Amino acid sequence: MNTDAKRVPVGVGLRRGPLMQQIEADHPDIDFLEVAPENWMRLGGAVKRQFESLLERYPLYLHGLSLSIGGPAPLDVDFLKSLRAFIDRYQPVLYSEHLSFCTDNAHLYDLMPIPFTRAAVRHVVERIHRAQDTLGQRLTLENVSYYTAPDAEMNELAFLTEILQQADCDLLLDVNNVYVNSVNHRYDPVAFLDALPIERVRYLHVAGHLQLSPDLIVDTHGAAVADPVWDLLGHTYNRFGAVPTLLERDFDIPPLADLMQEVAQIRRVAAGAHDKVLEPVA
Amino acid sequence: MNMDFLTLQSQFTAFIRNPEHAPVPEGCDPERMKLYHQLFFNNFDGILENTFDRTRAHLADDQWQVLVKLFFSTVPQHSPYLVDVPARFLEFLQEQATVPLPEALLELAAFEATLHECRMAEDITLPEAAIPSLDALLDCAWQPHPQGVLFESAFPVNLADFPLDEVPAEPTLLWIQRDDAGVVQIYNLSAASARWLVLLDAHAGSTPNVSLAQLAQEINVEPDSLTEFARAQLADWIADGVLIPALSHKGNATPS
Repeated sequence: MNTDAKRVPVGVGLRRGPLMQQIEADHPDIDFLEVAPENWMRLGGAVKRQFESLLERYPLYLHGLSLSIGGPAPLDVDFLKSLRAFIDRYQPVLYSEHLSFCTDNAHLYDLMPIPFTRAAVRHVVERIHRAQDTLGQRLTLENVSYYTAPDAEMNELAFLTEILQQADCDLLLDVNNVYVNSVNHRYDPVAFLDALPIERVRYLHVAGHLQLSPDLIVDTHGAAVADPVWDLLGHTYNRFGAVPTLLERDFDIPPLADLMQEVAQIRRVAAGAHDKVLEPVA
Repeated sequence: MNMDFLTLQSQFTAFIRNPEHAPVPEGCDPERMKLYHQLFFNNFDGILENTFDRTRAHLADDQWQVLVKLFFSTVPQHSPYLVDVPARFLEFLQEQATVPLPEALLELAAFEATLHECRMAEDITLPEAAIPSLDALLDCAWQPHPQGVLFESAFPVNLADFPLDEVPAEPTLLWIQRDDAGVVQIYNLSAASARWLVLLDAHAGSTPNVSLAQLAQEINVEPDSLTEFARAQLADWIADGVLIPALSHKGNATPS
């Protein structure tokens, strides 16, 4: 467990199967585990016991998938109540979701970009308030990757910052997504990071991706973190401090030892950032 | 900017579901919208291939693709949990007529869906209860574990390979239940054992003698002639967790 106040807290995503078994067996030097609550809320049997056993050792972060905070259909109140019960039971450090939509009148189980319009900002802000009321806590929302977006009235940065300000919620800053979007939509990722409100950034994600062409990257979470993202992560720590950071890996998951090399790399990048700004955030 | 965002969202999802019949949303890149369709479709296809891997293996690639595409584009999913999709796919398979499927394949799909449900099921909290001695098994009330499933098929769906076009003389009767280690166990049952499990469930507040008497009547034998069979079967089922002490209306185990 992390006892160095200046060391950035680093976690990995917990998934059923070999990775979970390796974490159980090896008790790796990580600072927290992250799970998608939708994959664990209705869990039973041996896996549930293993999950609860791991939570005696590691703090828990939740990263949701199905809230559809930007969706057109009414918020699923029953789901929110189940989520609240799960949160109350396991007391995660933080619950985050995606600034996206994954439904129309039904679920599609993946993330789509909310049209960047003023009406959409109002729609999302109102839903964030209602979700926060039901969950009894502030939402932390992630900037999502996207490949194309419909007609817009503002750019991604303006849309994101407007929602953070109006909803008074926090940001899960996905550094890989910033890089992916900067390539896919041709903007300067450093300028994007520098324009984000420092006080809202509570949590970071880094992940690997798949570059299909010079101007198109798919956010796969199925590879090691790419060099440009490591560079951007260093800049992120310089600007935002030692924000807790998750190494995301959802596909082609390598042995735990390989993941731990990337965990160590995250810590090296953070340590390489300026000492003055490396005080952990609250 | 001509459209409101809700219309844009609707266009976006319509294209993802069915790119051959929906226009590209205003302002979107057509090739990248196709990428969205493929990524979303692959997500559905992945969980369905994992759950129904044996059913999938019996179908030609184009048959499977037609089925999954039709399901993906036309069947709305109202659960926030992706793991609920296989159950909807089974219903879809049973109702659709686009790709005619033999009865054996539908029953295999139902079997695979049941295994998936058992793997993913939530826990039921059962009260602690002492297991009586072997001699006293017939004097206590038992019931099937509430998370077990009695599965009946005309085909031996639990076998790794079986001919789809041959209906065996006897049906296949299985008890499917996740064990303490999280492994889904499959127990073969005789017709009499399966019927007794059903009767034990129906008479869960009584000792097994009640259901045994009914079973004896149904198969036209003297109840005493079943006692040894019953004692051995009870011992096996209790050891495997197939039977648990019957729960009273207060939720307590009730030796009677």
